[in-house]
Order: sequence, then C-alpha cells, then structure tokens
Amino acid sequence: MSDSELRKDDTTATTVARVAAGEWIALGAFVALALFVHQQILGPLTDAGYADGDAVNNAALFPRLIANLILGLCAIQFVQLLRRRVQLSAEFMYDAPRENALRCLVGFGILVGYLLGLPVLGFYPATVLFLLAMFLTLKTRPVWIAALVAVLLTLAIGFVFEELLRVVLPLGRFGLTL
Amino acid sequence: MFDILLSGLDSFQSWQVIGGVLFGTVVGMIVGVLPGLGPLIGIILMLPLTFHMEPVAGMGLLISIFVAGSCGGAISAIVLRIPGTPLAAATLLDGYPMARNGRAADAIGLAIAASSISGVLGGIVMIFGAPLLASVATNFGPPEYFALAITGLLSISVVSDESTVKGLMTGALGVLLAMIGSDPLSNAARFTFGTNALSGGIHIVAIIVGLFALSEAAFQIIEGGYRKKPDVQPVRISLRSIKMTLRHWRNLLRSSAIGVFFGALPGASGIIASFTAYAIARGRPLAGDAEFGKGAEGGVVATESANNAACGGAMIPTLALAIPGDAATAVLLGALLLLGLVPGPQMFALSGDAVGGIFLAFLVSNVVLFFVGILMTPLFVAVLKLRKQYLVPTVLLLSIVGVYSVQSRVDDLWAMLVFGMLGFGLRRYGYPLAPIVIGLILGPIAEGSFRRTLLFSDDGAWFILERPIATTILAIDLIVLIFALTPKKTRQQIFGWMMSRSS
Repeated sequence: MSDSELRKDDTTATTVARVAAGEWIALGAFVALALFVHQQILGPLTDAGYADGDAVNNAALFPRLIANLILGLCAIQFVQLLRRRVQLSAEFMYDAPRENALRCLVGFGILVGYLLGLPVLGFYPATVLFLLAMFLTLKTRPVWIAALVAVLLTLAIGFVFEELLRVVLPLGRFGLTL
Repeated sequence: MFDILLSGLDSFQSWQVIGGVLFGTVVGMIVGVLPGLGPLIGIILMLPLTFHMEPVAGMGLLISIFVAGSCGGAISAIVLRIPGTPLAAATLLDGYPMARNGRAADAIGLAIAASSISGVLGGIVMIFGAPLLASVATNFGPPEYFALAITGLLSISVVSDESTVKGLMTGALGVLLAMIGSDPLSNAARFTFGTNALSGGIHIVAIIVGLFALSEAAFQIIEGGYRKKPDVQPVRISLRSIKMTLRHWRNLLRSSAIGVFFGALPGASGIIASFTAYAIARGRPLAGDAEFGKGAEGGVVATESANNAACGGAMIPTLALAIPGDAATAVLLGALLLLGLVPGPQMFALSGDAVGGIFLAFLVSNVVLFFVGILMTPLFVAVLKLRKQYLVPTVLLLSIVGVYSVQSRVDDLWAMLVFGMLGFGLRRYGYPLAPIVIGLILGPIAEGSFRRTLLFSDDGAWFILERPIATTILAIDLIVLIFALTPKKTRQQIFGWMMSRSS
C-alpha cells in the first residue's frame, strides 16, 4: 500500500471514529430528552395536577407517549449502533479542511456577537459590523469592497423591512433609522 | 370545482397577489439556480414576509417559490452539471450533454416550458382532486384525523434517506417541540421552566429558519470555495422552446401523470417522480431525437415535467387532508396555519374563497414561470456567478431580519441560533430535519385528535378500532412501519420470495 493510500485509510478511520462518537452522543441526547420529558411529567405537571385525570385535563398523556416512543427508538438505535459498522453520513462526504471548520465556528461566534450587540447598537451599525466580519471571515478582499457591500446590503434590507413592510427594527442606543 | 375558482377570483384580483406571484417566481428561480439553496430554503426565507400580506397573497408568494424553485435547479444542472436542487438531478443526464453540444439555450428552454406546462396540468388535477378528497374526508372525526396525522408523521420519517429510526426520532422531537407552551385543552404550562417567554411556545418560523437556513449556511462555510466563480456563458432562450416541448407531448403528458401520482404520495416527492419518468421515457424515444444520455430532448422534458407536476400532486393531500408530502409542503402547511387558514376538509367549506385564490395563484405562477423564465434566464445564469462569500452572509442576514420581523423579539433570534446549531449537529450525524417540521405541524393535530377521541370513548384508545376508516389507515401505517424497520437484507429476501412466487 502506498503512503497516500495509507494516509487516506487513516483519515477515513479517524472520521469513522469521530462519527461513531457523534452517533453515541446524539443517541445519549435523545435518551436525555425522553428522560427530561418524564421528569417534567413527574415534577411540574404532577405538582400542578395535570398529569392524570380525563383526556382534557391530562396534559401529560401525549408527551408521555412520545417520550416512551423515543426511548423505544433509542433502544433500536442502540442495538443498531452495536451491531453494524458506523457508516459515514452524507454530510461527512465534504472533504472539510480544519481551516473551514474553524471559519464556521468563527461564523457562529460572530452571530452570537451580533445578537448581543443588536439591542445595544441598533440594527444599522450592528448589521454593518456583522456583515463586514462575515465577509472578511469568508476571505472577501479588498476590505473596502467588503465594507461597501456591507453598508449597501444593510441599507437595502433595512429599506425593504422598515419602509416597505413597516417593521420596527432594533433602534439601540443610537436610535438610527432610515 | 369551478365555483371554488370563481369565489377565489375576488381575493386573487389584487396587486399584492399578482406582485407576490411575480416576486415569488423570480425568487424561486434564483434559489433554485443556486446550488445548496432550493425551494425549501426560499420558502423559509420568505415565510416571515407573508405575515405582512393578505393570506392569499402570502400563499401566492410561497407557492410561486415552490413552483419556480422546483424548475430553477435545471439551469445549473444544464449549464454547470451541478443540479441546483436534488429535484434536477435527473435533468443533468441529458441537459448537460445538450449544453456540451452547443444547445444550452434549447435545453433550458425545454426545461422551463416543460415545467410550466406540466405545472399547469398538475394544477388542474389539484383543482379537481383536492376538493374531491376533502369532500370524502368531510365526515372524518377525531379518530380519522389522528390516523391521518400519524400517516403524515410516518411517511416522511420512513422514507428518510439515512435511517428510518433516526427519521422517527426527529419526527418525535418535532412533536415534543410543538408541545412547549400552554396546552390548548387544559391550559397547563408544559416544558416552560416557569418562564413567560416560553408560555406561547417557540415560534415555528424561528425553529424552521434555524434548522434549515442556519445549518445550510454552516455547511456552505465548511464546504469552502468562497471565492469560486464558475465560468458560464450567457444564454438566451426564445418562445420557440414551447414548440420544441410540444413535439414531445406524449412524453410530457405521461411524465406529468407520473409526477402528480408520486407528488400526491406523502413522502415520495418529485425526485422519485423525475427518475421514474426518465426511465420510462428512455424506453420510448421520439424519432429524430438524440440518444438518451447523450443530449436527448425527451430526457429533459420527462424529468422537468415530472418534478413540476409533482408540485400540484403534493398540494392535494396538503390542502385536503393536512398531510404534507415533504418538508417544503410541510412549511406551506405551516404557513397556511400561521396565516389563519386551517388546512383540511373544513377549509374548503369555511374558506372557499381563500382556497380558490390559492388555486388560481398556483395556476398563474406556472404561467408566469414560463414568461419569467424566457425573459430572465440571462439574469438567472448570471446569478450562478455569485460568490459564496457574499451569498452566505446575505442568507444569514435575511434569516435574521425575517425571524425578527415576525414578532419583533430578539428572543426569537436566540431560539433561531440554538436551532441552527441543533440542525447542524443533527445533519452532521445523519438525522433528517424534514420530520421535525412535519412533527411540529402535525403533532398538535395528532395530540388534539387523540385526546378528543379518548373523551368520546368508554374503551380508551380502543375506540379507534370501532371506526373502519381510522382502523384501515392505522393498519396500513403499521405495515409500512414494520416494513421500514425490518433490516434491508430481510426486506430483500422477502422481495425475492415474493418475486419468485409471482413468477
């Protein structure tokens, strides 16, 4: 086997191991979800008197059924994960370099920053900064073009929603509006 | 039938509806052309806009995106050999060879004309079929509605690409998400953690936009190629394409019928329809046409007419029984509910004018598709040059502003972000997202019907078995479920045994 083939094999094995770990985590999350539903039924719903009685009063009836269904499905998935070799999901077909994964993470970070800044700065300043940061993260150069597109796009979308659809966009401390 | 159409004329004749259809067609073509977006994302991105419109205008906008988006994918399939949507995957088999033979304009013209004509044919079947189905279902009670809701939930989960179990798990997740907030029957607060912010539940638009648009943006970033700009030549098409398409009228009619049939089957979708129509057309080539796979006009006509006729077919159970066939029709169903129309037999009785308006919008959007397609194809081809580094932030911004505009609440944006991350994680590990949407929409119908059934019964849930229609539907559901959960190998053995018995 050539060096490149060995490397490719190694990469596939690592990816499969990562998928396998992810599959178990996802399964665990679904079990936790079902248990959480039962906890809510036994806790707040029982305390409030909505976990039994007739079909109208029993608000826990259907959630209990669904939670039990999820637990049953998790049991099937558990057996399937034990029995078969993990297959790569279609989404794993992307040959994603680490750098792109990092950009995605940065993108989510920028979005969090935007949501935090939106009520403070208001729609227009926060959106220009958000777009500029996103453009730069996605390698838009030169910077002045990225800034220009960010401003124009913000104004265009602001115009459509604020002027045409009469949506009150967040004003923030500066109170900027069209 | 015609009285419904006539009653819809009033609500259809407004600039808002006509403008919505025109705008929706252009948006639909653009999202269809751009690989990675497609009609579903287009509908989701424009869903918040509909809150500021009349119900028929809002539905006209979304339906036009559904129709045009199902056709737009053909352009990138033909020009770049990259289907803009999975629906156009079969179109590239002959569309791309036609383009390589210097007939890109002819191929796109055929695709647009075939989509438009078959869309109208599908619409006509819908106009006759949906009220008929609704009239059959008029006497349905809670047990039958419960059984139908279970069918809708099962069908999309069972045909999930990755795994039936995962599809059912995400469907159940959708049902649970729909339960957050006040229980409509008892007013009990469920899963609200005692906060007022969750007492009204999480807005469905925030959930759907997060799950689909945000996760798609994340995958687009991970995929890379931000500055890639494909080299595409300008394309101009003419009215001649309609004549070329009509030369294949048998193929067109047959493929449209296949499209309507598969579209009307919950869970089947236009993709199966287009590949089936292609396979059948391949066996019946038109004299003088190129060989299939090497640029046959018949190949493009078959696939495009099937996948657009499927739109009309998919609308039949969606409107008449509130059973969506796929994620796009599920969002359309959700849009109907959000706009104050309750899909199902009652809608035909109580809101006949709105139904008529929706029917007309569907028909007109298919006609508009042809003219917009002919006139604006150079623009749609040029859109292919749009770099991802601009497209992804634009989609993100539209998602954010759209979600915010629904209730003017930043809390909704945080919910959208959470569901974006959830959608990304679920997709990464092969959990399909479409069943979540179906669960969100059909969950409350299933729960309400189930509890009402119990209310009228002394025997508990066994009461359902005293209702022949509900029992039959549930029995079919059970068989489908058992079959879907059976390992592939055993299924193949059963098929083999059945084939040997029949031969």
